[in-house]
Amino acid sequence: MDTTIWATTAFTVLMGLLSTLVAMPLAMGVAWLLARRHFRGKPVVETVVTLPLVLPPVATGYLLLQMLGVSAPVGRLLDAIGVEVVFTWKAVVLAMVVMSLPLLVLTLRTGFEQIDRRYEQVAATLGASPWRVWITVTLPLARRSIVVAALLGFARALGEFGATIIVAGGIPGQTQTLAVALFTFIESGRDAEARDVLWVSLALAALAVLAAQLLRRREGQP
Amino acid sequence: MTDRLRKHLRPVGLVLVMMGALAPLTAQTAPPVLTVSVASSLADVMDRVVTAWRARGGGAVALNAAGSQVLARQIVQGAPVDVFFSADAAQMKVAAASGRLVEGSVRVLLTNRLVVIVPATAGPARLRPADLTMPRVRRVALGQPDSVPAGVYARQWLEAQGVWQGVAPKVVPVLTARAALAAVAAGRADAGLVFATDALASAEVRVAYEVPAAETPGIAYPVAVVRTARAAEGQRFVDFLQSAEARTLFEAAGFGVRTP
Amino acid sequence: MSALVCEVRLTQGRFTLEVSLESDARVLGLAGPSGSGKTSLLELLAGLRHPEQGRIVVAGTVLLDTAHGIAVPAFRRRVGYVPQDGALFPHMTVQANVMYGAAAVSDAGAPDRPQALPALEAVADALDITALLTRPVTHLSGGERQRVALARALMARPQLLLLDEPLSGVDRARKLAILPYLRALRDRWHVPMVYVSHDADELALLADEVCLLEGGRVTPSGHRDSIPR
Repeated sequence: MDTTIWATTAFTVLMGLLSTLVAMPLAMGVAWLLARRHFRGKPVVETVVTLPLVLPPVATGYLLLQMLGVSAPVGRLLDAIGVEVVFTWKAVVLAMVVMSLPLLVLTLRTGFEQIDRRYEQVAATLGASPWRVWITVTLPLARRSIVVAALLGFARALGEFGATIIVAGGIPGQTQTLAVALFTFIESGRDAEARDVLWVSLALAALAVLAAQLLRRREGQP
Repeated sequence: MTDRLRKHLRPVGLVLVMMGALAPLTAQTAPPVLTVSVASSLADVMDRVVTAWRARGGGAVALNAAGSQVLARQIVQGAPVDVFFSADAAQMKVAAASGRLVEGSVRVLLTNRLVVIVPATAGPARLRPADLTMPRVRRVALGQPDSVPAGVYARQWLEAQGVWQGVAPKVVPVLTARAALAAVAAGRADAGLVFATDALASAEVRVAYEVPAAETPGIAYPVAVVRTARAAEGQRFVDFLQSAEARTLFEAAGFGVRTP
Repeated sequence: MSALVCEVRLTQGRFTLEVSLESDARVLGLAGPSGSGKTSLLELLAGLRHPEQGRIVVAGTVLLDTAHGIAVPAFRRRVGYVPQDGALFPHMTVQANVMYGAAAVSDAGAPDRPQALPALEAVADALDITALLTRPVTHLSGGERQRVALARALMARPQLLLLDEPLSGVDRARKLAILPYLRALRDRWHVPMVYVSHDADELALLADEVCLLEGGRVTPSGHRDSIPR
């Protein structure tokens, strides 16, 4: 993979989409649990999920790097099955997922909480299993929140820097995202390239916001 | 005042009380205080030096630690910094070009050495420059080779050894020494190149090769006073950095001290 | 064996619901002041809530028995529930709403019913909603919503149908128009019902038996004529 700005852009967008694809189902499950169920240890789950939002991103990156080290349990497991994460594109996705998850869960949870429980209850009395209720009632009614969450998560993933550079390394041509490239160019005085990356990043951000606006207008009435 | 209004003002009042309680606790002291920009690799030892300075009756000092390239840029852009302690002569030149430094105040105080680090438990006992090109060394962590001083020096040394071409594809560019240490400690980088002083900071890495003094590129730590209202105090501080007491602290941290 | 046996005890904060009743009525009326626990009782019967202890048997099937660890989840109870404003799914058409429960019924495990599966046409005709089927749910009047809600509940072939004040908030003329449909549920489709209402007239017209729920306790007042007007 060559290191032109377009290659970096394509890589960043691809990773962003992939991370949103991975994070959304996970976030939906967690958000629904937090919105509808009471269980022991719920505050712990809430805290852990919110942590990447509160910690400095670099700190989260260091935590991830430690957890994936050769002597850590998770790292050992991954080595055993031959999966390499640190300093590969998988680490980029991981960093993006971890950093956008709190935002996703927060948005989705609010969306689920706003759905009148009676719809789900009535659906159950009509014979729908919990899974069928989820698919046919909950998700359609939460449609708007789901779309907003996905867009927000995607935007957050695109801009992710601190954790990414620690656990993915920002290796040009391999794991360098637009955000990392921008910082690197500024730091080494490559101003022309930095400007180019800046324009591309702005364009992407504008596209994401435009998409959100279009979708909102199309939704119209609930 | 109506009940509703009161209900809304209560949380606001609570926040104000919290702010009032926290304000005196913050360590932010009001000026005048000496602002000293130090390279990241100097942050730890300078903490101790400042403590000694204060014990000797010196005034308040605020340490501003970051990469030398960041600090130089701050000075060029007019940041209210009084003393600049860089890890890189090139960055000191950048700062000097802005015209903000006191004439003739640049002094090289410390030297450092490059070392090759490996994971403490898993790494090989010794790793020479040529070994870095071997297939079993898959990734080498070093500072960004065109901006971070440690990275710049590392690249210069590897080029001088004739192995840069073989190592470049394996480089994981990091922003700070801490990041390089963390990568090697986690075993995800097989080797790293950092300053000798940084290697002391982590028990999870081991030095596998010390770049000999003769081969070390000129890693010099120049210090200079910036032309501000506190320049006189700044000069006194720089003088203290050259005292015997400060020297002991620097050497304990692994730096070499240039005798004037 | 009675058609409906319900002995439950539910505590929520300072409110305790303690009910013990048995009934063979086709329509069991449930009256009482607001806050007396009528909705909670319906939720318990539907399986949307669980009591600390209790036993619920509907048409010979044990739905709940805390003493023996039996607790059939709501979606398997075949107990229909029509909440106060119908709660029609806003993102579906009328037809999709009405057919929602019908799909789940045709799988294995459904207990045998003496009558045939009601066809959509018959139900739509009986409740006079045929013209509404393609409409989105948001374009219905109050009375139309109630009829659609009833149709939806009926299509799921419930063993027991719970109606939570289905005619409150409906004007008198409408009420008189809908009552025949409710009677059809009772007489033509033979669906046992628990019918919650404030209105003594409605209960007089529909219920065979009435229970009074006050402060969480039931005073079975037996025949409907004994309700204070």
